[in-house]
Amino acid sequence: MSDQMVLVTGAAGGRQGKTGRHVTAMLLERGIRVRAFVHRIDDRSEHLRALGAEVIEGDFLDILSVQRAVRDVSSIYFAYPVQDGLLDATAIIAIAAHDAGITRLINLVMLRSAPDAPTPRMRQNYLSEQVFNWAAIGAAHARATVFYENLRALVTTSLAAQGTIRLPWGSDKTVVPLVAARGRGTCRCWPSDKF
Amino acid sequence: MAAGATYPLIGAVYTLKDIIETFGRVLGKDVRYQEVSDDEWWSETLARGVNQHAVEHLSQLWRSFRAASLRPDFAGFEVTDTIEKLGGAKPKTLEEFVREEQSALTAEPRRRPV
Repeated sequence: MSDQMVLVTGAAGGRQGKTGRHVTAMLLERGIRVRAFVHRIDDRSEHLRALGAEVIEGDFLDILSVQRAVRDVSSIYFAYPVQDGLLDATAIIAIAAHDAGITRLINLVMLRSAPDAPTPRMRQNYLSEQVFNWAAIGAAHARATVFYENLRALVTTSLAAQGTIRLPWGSDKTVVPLVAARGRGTCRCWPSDKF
Repeated sequence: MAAGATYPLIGAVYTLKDIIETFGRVLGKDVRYQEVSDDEWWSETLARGVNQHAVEHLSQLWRSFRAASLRPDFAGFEVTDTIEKLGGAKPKTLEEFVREEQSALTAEPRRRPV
């Protein structure tokens, strides 16, 4: 479908996995139209425009701006930064997407997404999955573990300064599952024909 | 992809020892692991500007990784074939990632306000 358009949230890319930015680039390369949802117009959003995205400024927590953003799109890529507000954003996106007749939403969540998951964010992820399922918007949930890019951000300073990796990870034998955000990893899983 | 379906995404599973060795080998320098307490890590990470919600999430995640690895019945984490199936290629390894990021990881640290 050449006339389909995907709304990509978190498209500018923040300090975490920047998956919205990578998904935007990947879809545009494949000839899929992208509406990039950004918090503010700046150099990062100009970069998205230069790539060919339609840029729309808005806020996940403002339902009016989300309703404008979902107009005439068929699918949504939803990745909420690891910060407060996920459940408000979930409710707003679910309602706006349902009302707009969205048929596919890719929801980026954490590896463990369950009522008894070990962190508050993971438990919120579980709730957001359920809300999206009820909204009947074709939600599929990508449960990604910690990104290599997150690990890099955590170790860069001490690695460069002292050649050390400072973490509370316990013994040598502690096991950590990881995945790439960019490249052959998380973002690669959502090519155009999956939207 | 079915509606309501979930896709676990794990590219690879490493021990802490593997991770330290990989950074050292690829960057060609002596990389040492320095254990810090949960409280120290929490305050250092907040001081670097990471938001409270993310610090709390990560801190509890690190606890859960430590605890899981200590359990005698710990079965490990399963590397799934999701990435290969949906993305059409084997997932990137940590070694490849560190190689790609080599220049950024060995750059002089930027001064940060104290």
